[in-house]
Amino acid sequence: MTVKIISCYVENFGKLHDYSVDFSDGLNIVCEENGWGKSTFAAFVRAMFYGLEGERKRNLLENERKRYKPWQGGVFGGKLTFEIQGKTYQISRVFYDKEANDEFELRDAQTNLLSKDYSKKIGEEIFQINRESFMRTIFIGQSDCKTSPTDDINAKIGNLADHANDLNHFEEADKKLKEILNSLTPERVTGSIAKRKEEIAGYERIVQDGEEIVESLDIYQDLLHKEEAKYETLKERLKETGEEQQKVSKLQSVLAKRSEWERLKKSVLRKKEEAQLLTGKFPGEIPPAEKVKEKISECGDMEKAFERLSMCQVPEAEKAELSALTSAFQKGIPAKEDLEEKIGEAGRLRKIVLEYSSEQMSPKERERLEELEFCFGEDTESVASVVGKWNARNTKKAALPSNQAALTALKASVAGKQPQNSLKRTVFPIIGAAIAIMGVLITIASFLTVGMAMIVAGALMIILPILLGKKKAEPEQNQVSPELERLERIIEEDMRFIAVADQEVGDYLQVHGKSFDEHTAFAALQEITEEAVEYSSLKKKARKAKEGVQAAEIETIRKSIDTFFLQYGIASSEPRYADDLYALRNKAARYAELTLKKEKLEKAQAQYNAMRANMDAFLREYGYEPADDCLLQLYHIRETMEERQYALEAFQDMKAELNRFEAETDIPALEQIQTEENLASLEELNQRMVRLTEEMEQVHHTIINYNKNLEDLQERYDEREECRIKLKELKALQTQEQKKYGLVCKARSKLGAAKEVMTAKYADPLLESFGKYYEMISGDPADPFHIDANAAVTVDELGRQRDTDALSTGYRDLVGICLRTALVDAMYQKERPLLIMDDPFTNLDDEKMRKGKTFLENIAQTYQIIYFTCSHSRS
Amino acid sequence: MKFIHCADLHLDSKMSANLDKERAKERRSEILDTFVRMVRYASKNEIAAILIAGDMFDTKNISATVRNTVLHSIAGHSHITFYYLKGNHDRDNFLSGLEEIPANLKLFSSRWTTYEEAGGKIAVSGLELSAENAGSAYVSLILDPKRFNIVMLHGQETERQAKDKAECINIRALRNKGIDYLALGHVHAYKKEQLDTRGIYCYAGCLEGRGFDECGGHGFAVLDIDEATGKYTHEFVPFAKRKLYTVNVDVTGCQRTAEMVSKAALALQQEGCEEESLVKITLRGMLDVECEKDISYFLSRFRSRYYFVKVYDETTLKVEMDDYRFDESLKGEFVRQVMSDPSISEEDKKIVIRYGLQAIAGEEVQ
Repeated sequence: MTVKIISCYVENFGKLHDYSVDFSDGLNIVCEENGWGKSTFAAFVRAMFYGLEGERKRNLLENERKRYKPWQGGVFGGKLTFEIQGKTYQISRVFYDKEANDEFELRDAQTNLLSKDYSKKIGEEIFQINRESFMRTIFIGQSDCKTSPTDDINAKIGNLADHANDLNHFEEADKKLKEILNSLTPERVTGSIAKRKEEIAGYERIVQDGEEIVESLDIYQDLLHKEEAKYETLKERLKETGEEQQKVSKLQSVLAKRSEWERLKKSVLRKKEEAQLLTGKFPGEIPPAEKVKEKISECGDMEKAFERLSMCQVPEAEKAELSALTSAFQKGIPAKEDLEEKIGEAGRLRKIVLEYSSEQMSPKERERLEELEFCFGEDTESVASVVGKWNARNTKKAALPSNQAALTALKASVAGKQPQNSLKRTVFPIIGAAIAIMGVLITIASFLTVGMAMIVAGALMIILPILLGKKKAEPEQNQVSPELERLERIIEEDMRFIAVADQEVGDYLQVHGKSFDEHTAFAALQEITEEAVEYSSLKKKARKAKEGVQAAEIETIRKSIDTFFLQYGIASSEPRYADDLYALRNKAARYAELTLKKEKLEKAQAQYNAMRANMDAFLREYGYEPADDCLLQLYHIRETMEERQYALEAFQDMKAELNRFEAETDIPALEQIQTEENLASLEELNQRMVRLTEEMEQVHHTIINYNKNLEDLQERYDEREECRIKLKELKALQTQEQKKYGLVCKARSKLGAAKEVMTAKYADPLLESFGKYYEMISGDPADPFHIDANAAVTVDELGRQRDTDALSTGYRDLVGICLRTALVDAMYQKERPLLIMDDPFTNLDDEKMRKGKTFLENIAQTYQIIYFTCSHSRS
Repeated sequence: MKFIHCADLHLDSKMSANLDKERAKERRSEILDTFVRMVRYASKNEIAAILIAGDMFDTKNISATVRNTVLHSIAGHSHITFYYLKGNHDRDNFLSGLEEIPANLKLFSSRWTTYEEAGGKIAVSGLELSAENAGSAYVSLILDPKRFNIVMLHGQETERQAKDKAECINIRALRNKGIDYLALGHVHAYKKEQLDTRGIYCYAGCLEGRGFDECGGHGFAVLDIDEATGKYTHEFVPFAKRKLYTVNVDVTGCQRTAEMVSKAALALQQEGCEEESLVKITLRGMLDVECEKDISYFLSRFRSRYYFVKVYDETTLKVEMDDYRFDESLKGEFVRQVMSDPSISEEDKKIVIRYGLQAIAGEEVQ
């Protein structure tokens, strides 16, 4: 597999544009000035085989797509014609924004047909090394001479790619194992073993801490069992107490009966003693209850008698008064009837005396009687009759003018003249009004009758024409005549009567010494009337005085009264008769009153004394000394009697009850009962049961609490158990991973060792080749240099092998160039690839540069070399 | 008269050995539900009594849900008598805090306690074994041979006297005691054996398998006794909601995971593994060191089909040294390097080689 580039055409690549170049076998020097684009062209050749590198790199230097994007624009790419195993191919690549869009084309250069002999990974396929290995071997870049073998290089060195092709997987395998180790490692916190170690430690702590939970569980279990046992004990004790209670209850029932029997017997005795004690309280025979009751009732009467006695008590003043009255009435007490009679006589006497005194006429009265006797002794007509006659005369006289006026008016109407009618209607009222006014004046002047008559007449004159005028318009002419006649007759009669009356009244007045005047006649008649009354009275008095019977009666009465007074030694006289008689009556009444009081007192005293004596006799009869308050004493007696009676009844009742009890009860059985001294009472047992129940409740409560605690602990225990299981799992996994870690470590180690063995097989040929080229360039022997199984070059320096980094830049480049060439020699022992050198000798001194040229000429005989330089001295 | 004999319910068992927290919680509920279903079964099938031969509970403290559910089931089926004999896992806090124990719940103690059924024709005797009574337990058991005698105990059967060991039941000492049916608990797998000429003894096993050491069918035994004749039938009733399976798959010669999946599927089918079961697959056999084997992928192929799947890789690697002796490649050199290292065990060498080869091949290193 000898590979050589025949030509290149750069369409656009970096700053290169439309650049063509042909290459020949052996050394091809491209000597251009700085900035021409030598490195770009070298990158172009590399890109033609491997495509662009650093697709995702942001750095412009690392991202070739960006770095070599044509400055001037246009199609990004070019063509490269190469020869391999006698066949010529042309690679065409066009680059776009991303690799996926890149175009790759391979043509057979001889037929110009598309070839499928190689894919777009043509670099790997031709050189059997990846891009990185290409860069480390075939491509020797400027200031990048140092190299180290990659898997591909090692594989190529081992020449194994053809048949096993697994050495180039070493790095991948190592990387995988390393990743596994990293993921497992106990050394770093990111490793699962290290992580799990922490986790395990955490769970171990929990599990360890949980030890006390187990202990607590046991403790609480024990406590619980103790409490439960306690509860059972209490329950048993409660049961026993209940049984004891039942037993005691039964015994208590019998004991209660015996107690009841004892009580009854004691009660009978006690009641008997009480009755006897009460019987002993009586001094003698016990009075019958009825009698006591009777006596108590009598006490009530006696009390009343005593009250009466108290009420009848006579004051000392009254006693003195009675004594005085007794001496006053030594001769007897006037009878009430007598006194009343005498009082009546005294009254009558006073009346008669008064009457007698009033009926006696005085001389003046006698003179007057005589005077009036003269005037009225001859009267044939009473003054009243005369007055009546005069009044009638006045009435008629009063009516006369009006009648006359009416007559005149009537006469005028009879004449039948209209004007006259109207005149009559106007004149008559005027006249009527004048008459009425006159009547009023006359009435005021004390001629009442006349005045009134005139007023009436005047009024008629005013009204009549009006009435007549309305009603009798037409028939008036025919009716006037009878009316006229009637009026004329009335006027005539009235005038006649007036004349007769005047004559008779005048005569009468004259008899009584009065003159007649029409205007004073009425007053004169009045005076005569008064005189008539006086005359009548005087005449009557005179008639009584003439009778004279009363004096004798007066004397009789006086004598009777005087005699009465003398009976009682009282001196009295007219007009004190009545007063003295009343005084005597009062005294007599007072005496009677006081005497009665005295009698009542005496009677009440006698009654009371009799009652008291009776009571005292009763009390003494039964051995009691009467007390002042015998009622209280009797009450005491009765009370004692009742108490005794009650006691006796109670005694009898109790005895009956005892008898009944004894009849109903098996007394011998009661008598035989033996009580246990230590037997608790029902109350004690009840209290004990209450205590036990309370204790049981407490224990039950404790049990519940313990159970709750146990549940909590169990929950914690369960959590701890889960942790323990988890811990176990983790530990198992840890052990498993630790084992895996150890075995993977071993696998990696053994894999590395295998690789070293593999590469060590080619270390000597590599060193030989390296030495040859080193001596060719440097002129020095390559003895101090060593190459290990990993193709790493070391140099003996100051007694030990040192890395080539310790060398100067020039030597480092030199070592790198030699090693790369040696590696290519080792890698491609039969087929030779081309070598691309991008001015690798810049750091060499002139001597070495000169020898470098020789080196190039020598290797150019084996390889096609495309050598880029900017210096003619190095070209 | 019918009896159910069950034991080792282990209610409230944590179930976290294999299952994650959520699944463990779900499984705990399933176990409790199986107990409830069993009581319903008893009610439907005219079972007169349920014998619980110990380990009804698993933990020291019973959760309120379990305690209340069990009590509710017991109290809610007053026509069924529950004979509950405590086992080594049981603590009596199940009943602590109860004012009154349900009338149909019969308990036992460290002394022999006998209850009568069927008017005295059947006697149920039980004793809770402890270190204190282990010695005298057998001597103090006196039964009336005229009755049908059921005896309840909890412990591991042995054929000889284990002094002071509460968990051991001396079967020999219980022979010829007049026992008709020895209802045992403690062993989690169903087992029925002849005790003597008269009676049998039976471990009902657990109601539900909890771990892969409790594979196979689980449930309870139904004892149907003719009170008149004393004859009876005995039947095991599988009742577990889920089964557990352990399947060994020989994958010798397989070069790819897919081949191993095929072999495992076939093995599961042959085992009769029902869906929604709990399955443990153990890969066994010898594989070529360069074979492709992805356990995660293998597991994923079965995870959706079963309630829980666990894969144990117990395969060994086979390295053909002749293949690498003259292999000039890196791989050949690597194998030679490993194989020639005496500090690495033979088994580890195979693993190291596998790791290395997987890395060289660019495969997942596992």
